[in-house]
This record gives sequence, structure tokens and C-alpha cells, in this order.
Amino acid sequence: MIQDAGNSRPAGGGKAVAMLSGGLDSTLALKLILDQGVEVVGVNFSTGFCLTDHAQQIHRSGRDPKKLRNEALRAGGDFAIPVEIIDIADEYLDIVKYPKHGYGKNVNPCIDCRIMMMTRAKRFMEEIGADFVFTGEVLGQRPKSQHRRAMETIAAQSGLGDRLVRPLSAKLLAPTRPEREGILDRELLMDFHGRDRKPQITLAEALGVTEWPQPAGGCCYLTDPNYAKVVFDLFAHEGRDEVSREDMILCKVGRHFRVNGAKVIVGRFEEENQFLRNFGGSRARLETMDVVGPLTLIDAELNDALVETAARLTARYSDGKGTSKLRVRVTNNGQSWELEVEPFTPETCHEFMVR
Amino acid sequence: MSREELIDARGVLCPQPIIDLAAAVRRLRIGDTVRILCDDLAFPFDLESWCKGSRHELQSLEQVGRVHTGIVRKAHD
Repeated sequence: MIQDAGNSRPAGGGKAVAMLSGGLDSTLALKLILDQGVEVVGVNFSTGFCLTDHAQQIHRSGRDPKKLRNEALRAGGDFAIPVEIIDIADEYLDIVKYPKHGYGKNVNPCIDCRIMMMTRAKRFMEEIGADFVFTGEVLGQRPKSQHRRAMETIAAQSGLGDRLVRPLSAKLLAPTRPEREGILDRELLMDFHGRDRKPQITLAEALGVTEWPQPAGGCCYLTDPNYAKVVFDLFAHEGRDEVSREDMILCKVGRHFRVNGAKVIVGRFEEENQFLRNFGGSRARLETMDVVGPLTLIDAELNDALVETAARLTARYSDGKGTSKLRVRVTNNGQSWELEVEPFTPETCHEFMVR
Repeated sequence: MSREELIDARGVLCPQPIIDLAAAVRRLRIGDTVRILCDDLAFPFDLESWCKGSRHELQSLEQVGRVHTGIVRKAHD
């Protein structure tokens, strides 16, 4: 929320595209540019790997729905600017599988990601007749994509070049075209550097920006170390060419096991069970029959040993894990049958777990 | 005479309902409406923000059970 959105804007002219996540940095960048009298249209990219989107898809009961809202849209509403959400999920999968500039600490292809988004933002800029694109990036804030050389590479390879403005660090970077052309006053831009958030918080107070999502620092699943382990396991077993968007979504959900090369996914709570039930497609499903338990999917061709192992995993994560025998129902290709199995010990489960 | 387009986004994963709404509004004429059904918990917040930012008119927003129904009138090209 802002207190004086749209007020006291000087007549600076020009039109810009804001790459908007709705986090504190992109919100501040937006306010700085609006305050220079520039007309702004926001873009927000849907990659399929946004934490908020995933939280919306698996909303646990009791969670405040307001915290599941799209923050880019929220910022657009607060500042009265239109925000275009652009779905890039299909093409984005390719850079997750084959990043030209490599990964960060996990499965995050940050430089390729920024180049792709800015290339797309450039196209949008040209479509709507805007003069430049700006982001909330801060020099030195993130190790992979926000050091000086990476930021220069991203500007060059996206084709934006000097029409890419980073208002929060502009004074530490070379003057851009809108600064040279007088659309932007460089003196009113910032010189933020590094990971310290205090300058942003001080600026937010000064500009009357009073609300932003917490925690800050990125909203992307690909930086999650546990997700990365599951994805790299998937790449190793299935081959990157074969991995689909659906496979990548399933990597976000449940506990993941490898049983002689076959993938078994066990839901962790009811909302995940429901998601797996809806999203499981033609995969075999297992559920305990007499006690509350997880939904399990087998993502492979079935054989007796695999089904028994998956059933024992299912039993282990049910309310009957302390009993000697449990009934588990298996459903596959329209057929259904029962097994009676002993739940695995935690140690045995750990042996099969993807880690 | 204005017309209404229906988007049934029940069960559709976010943010697709808003992407579909924006596309529908682009196709329509000024004064036409879109009726959108969605069962996403955050949908009312996203819809209100989208209308405020894009300056299209949110004529009504109601909830019956888990399903939200919004009616948006295209206000400008």
C-alpha cells in the first residue's frame, strides 16, 4: 500500500516498462520512476516456478488468502498502473534444463532467466511504444545475476543495452539512454549496493511505501536446495530431454523416493494428497484403507516388487505406521487391488529417499 | 448492444485466470462485460488489483461456496 500514489508527479514525459515482482525493490523502483512523471506499464512473468503461485495451488487450510495474492498485481493496483502477466513457462523450462550461463547454488539459471525475461520485456516495450525497461535490481545484491559483469551481460544479451535502467543502483552504473535524453533525472535515482536492506527500508519510509511482501529476497522455487535435489535426480534418471513441465511441477510436491530407478511420490499433508490426486494423471495410486494416510503416486511401469515397496512407504507415512500389517489399495489403469504390508522403518525409507 | 463473455476458471491454476481475463477484455468492445468464475482463494484480491491497475470496472464480486464470480466491464481500449 502507498499513501500518495499518483500525486506530485512532475511532467517528465516518456513511457516505460516495469519488470515487476511486487517485492520491495521493484516497488521502490516503480515509485522512483513514476515520481519522475514517466508513464509506466508493468510486466510480470509467469515461469511456473513462483513460490506464491505454488502456495495458491496447494493452499493449506488456515492460511491467510491475502498472503497468496499476486504481488505484482497488488503493486499495480496500489499505484494505478496496468500490469500484464506474461506466461513464459514452456520456453522457461528449456533454460532450466539447459542454461547457457550455468546454475547458481541450486537449479536456478539466474542469468539465463534474466536474459529471457528482459528479451521478452524488450519486445513488449516495442509493442507498446515505450522508451525503456526498468527493474528493481540492486548491484551486488545477488551473487549470480547482480554483480556488475552479469548485469552488463544481461543488458547486452537481452538487446536492451542502454535502454535498461536499474533505478536503485543507477548512480553506480553507466548513464542510460533515458538519462541522457532527459526522460530521467539521474540525480533522483539511487546508489544502492549489496545485500543490506536498510537503505531500501529507509527509502520506502521516505516515499510512503508502507506495505510489501515478507519475506523478501526472491520468490523462486529454483533456489530451494531440496527442490534442486529432486530435479537433478529427475534429470539423471529420465534425461533432460524427456522432462516435461508436469514432471517439474510434481517435483514440488511430496516426499520423493527412487526404488530401483522408479519414482515414488508420497504426499505430506492433505492438500498435497489432493493435489497429487488431481494432478496424478494416469500414474498408479496407493492409499491406506483402514487408517488416515498419504496418497502415493508411482511414476513408472509397475512390477510386484515396486508396488510392494511403494505400499510399505505409504504405510510408513500413515497413522498406522506403528502396526505390523496395514491394508493398502492400489489403483492403476481402472483396476484396483489390495495389499497387506508391514510399514517400513524410518531408516529404510531414508535409503530410498531422493537426497 | 453490449455482450458478455464467460470464463469458467474453476480448477485453473493461478495466475492463468487473470491472464485469460486480460485476453478476453482485449477482445471485447467498450461496455462489454466478462463474467469470470474462479475457486482460487486469492482470486478476489488479484481481480480487484487488476481492475484498479488496468482501470476496468469491477461491477460485482460475489462468493458462493468456494467459487468467486466477478463481472468486469471493459472501460476503455
